[in-house]
Parts: sequence; C-alpha cells; structure tokens
Amino acid sequence: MSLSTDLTVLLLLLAPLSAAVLSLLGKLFSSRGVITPAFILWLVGSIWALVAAAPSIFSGVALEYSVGGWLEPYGIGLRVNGLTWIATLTDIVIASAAWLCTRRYRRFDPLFYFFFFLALFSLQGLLCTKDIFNLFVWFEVLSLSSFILVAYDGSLNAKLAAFNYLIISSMSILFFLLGVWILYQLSGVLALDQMTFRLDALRARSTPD
Amino acid sequence: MAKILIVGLFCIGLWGILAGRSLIRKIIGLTIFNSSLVVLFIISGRLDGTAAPLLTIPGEPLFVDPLPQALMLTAIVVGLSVTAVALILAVKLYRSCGTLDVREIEDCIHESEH
Repeated sequence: MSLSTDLTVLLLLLAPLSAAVLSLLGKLFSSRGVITPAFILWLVGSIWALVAAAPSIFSGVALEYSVGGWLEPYGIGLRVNGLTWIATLTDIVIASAAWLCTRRYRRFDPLFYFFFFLALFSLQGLLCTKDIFNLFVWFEVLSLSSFILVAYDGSLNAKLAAFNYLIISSMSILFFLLGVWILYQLSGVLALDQMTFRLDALRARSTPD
Repeated sequence: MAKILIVGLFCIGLWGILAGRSLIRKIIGLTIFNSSLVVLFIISGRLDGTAAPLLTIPGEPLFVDPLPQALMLTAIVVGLSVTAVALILAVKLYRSCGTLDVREIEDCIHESEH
C-alpha cells in the first residue's frame, strides 16, 4: 500500500495518462469495452496516490520529484503539497460526476474519453508543476483537449462555440505569456518558490525604511 | 527599432483578432500576436551578448540567454498546434455554411435551427 515519494507523484500523473492511452487503444480496435476499465484505472490510481501521499501531506511535508533525475535549476520539478492534494480530490469528485453524466447522456466513442482523460492528465500536471512556464504548457494542453471536447457534439453551434472559445482562450493565454516575460525579467528565474523569494528581496530593497 | 516592431506586431495581431469578421483573419491575427511575444522573448534574451550560448567558444564571455530561446521553441510548437485546431474548425464551418464571415455563420445557425 505504501509507495515511495517518487512513485506517488508519478502515479498521480500516470493514472490519467494510462487511462487516455487505454481509450486510444479502444479506438484503434473499435471496442467500447475499454471505457469502464479506463475509468476504473484512473480512479483507483488517483485515489491510491492520494492515500499514499496523505501521511506526509498531513504532517506538512510536500512531496517533490525531479523528472528524469535532473535537479533544479536545469530540470523540471513536480511538487505535491496540501493545496495540490485538496485540488486533486476535488478534481476526482467532479471528473467522476462528469464521467457518469457522459455515460447517461449519449454513447460517446472511446476517442471522446481519450480527450477527456487527456484533459484530466493536463489538469493534474497543472496542479503538480513547480515552474511558471510549465504552467503555460499545461494550460495549453488542457485548452487544446477542451476545444475538441466542446466541438465533439459535431453540430454547427458546437463548432462555432469551440472556435470562439479557442480564439478567446488563446488570446488570454498569450497575455499570461506576457506576464511570464515580465516576471522573468524581474526575477531571472521561472520556478515559483524561488521567484517569490527573489521578488520579496527586490521589494525589500526598493522600499525605503 | 525592435520595440517598435514588437508593439506594432502586438497591435496588428490584437486588432486582427478583435475587429476581423472572417475566421481566417482572426486566425492570422492570433498567429501575428503570438509572433510578437516570440520576438519580445528573443530580443530580451540577447541584451547581454550576441554569441551562441556554447561555452566552448573561447573569448566570448557574453552570450545570449538560452532559456528564452528554449521557452519560445515550446511556445512556437504550442502556437502551431492551436492554429491547426482553429483551421480545422474553420474548414468544418465553411463546409457547412459556405462562408467564413462570423455574422453570416451565426445567421446560418439560426436558419438551420428553424
């Protein structure tokens, strides 16, 4: 039942990703039977990771993982802290409700669930990331899969809505990128915790005593 | 000079997105807007020096900041995929309505509902 720190963080990300891959395999072999196993795989994996992370989260220690063993400042870091834990729990509850609704609403094919789990995967990455530029990349993956989910209905209304959403969302994410540029110019780092530290130092220096 | 270029591209892109009535014009506006931010990052990365960021070049202590270049490589790829999805939606709307004008597409949707 207990997992190492690295495995817990990886499991949080790999659970939705493997569910997405399973759905894509279902599309490849045109079998609808994979939809429920993919959902169970995602649900069990995510809840297992949350349970494994709980002891260290409740004692106030965040879980850290460096992708590929590359430590900061060169590598990409992932962190699961209390806020991530609660947000993941909310995400699981809402996504399960949404999944049940899609099952009642219409018989969507496995490709729909591929994009559904891809959106959940990028949401999980968004919650775990330590780096403001990776935040931008995860946001883009999340919005790309949600454009397709919006247009999935296939009606004219859905396509126009997806197009409007795409234009507004892409425009606003570029303003976010402008913000990333401003923060990078001010602090010289992209990692969120170091950025807070450096901006505090900058503020302390600029305010007269 | 670079500042004028960046502000110009920024304004042209924003105007294209907001004022353009054609779907294709909006997509072109989005791409230009994206390019202005790419130019902004790249220009700000080479304020210290202009040599390539290879530490093996002797006698070149001032080189460009490699981080913005790596970031923009990612941002260009992401922008390309967003453009691809937008173009697919535009093609699908054109095939159904026979027009690229946003207002005419809205009229077309109204008519098909009644």
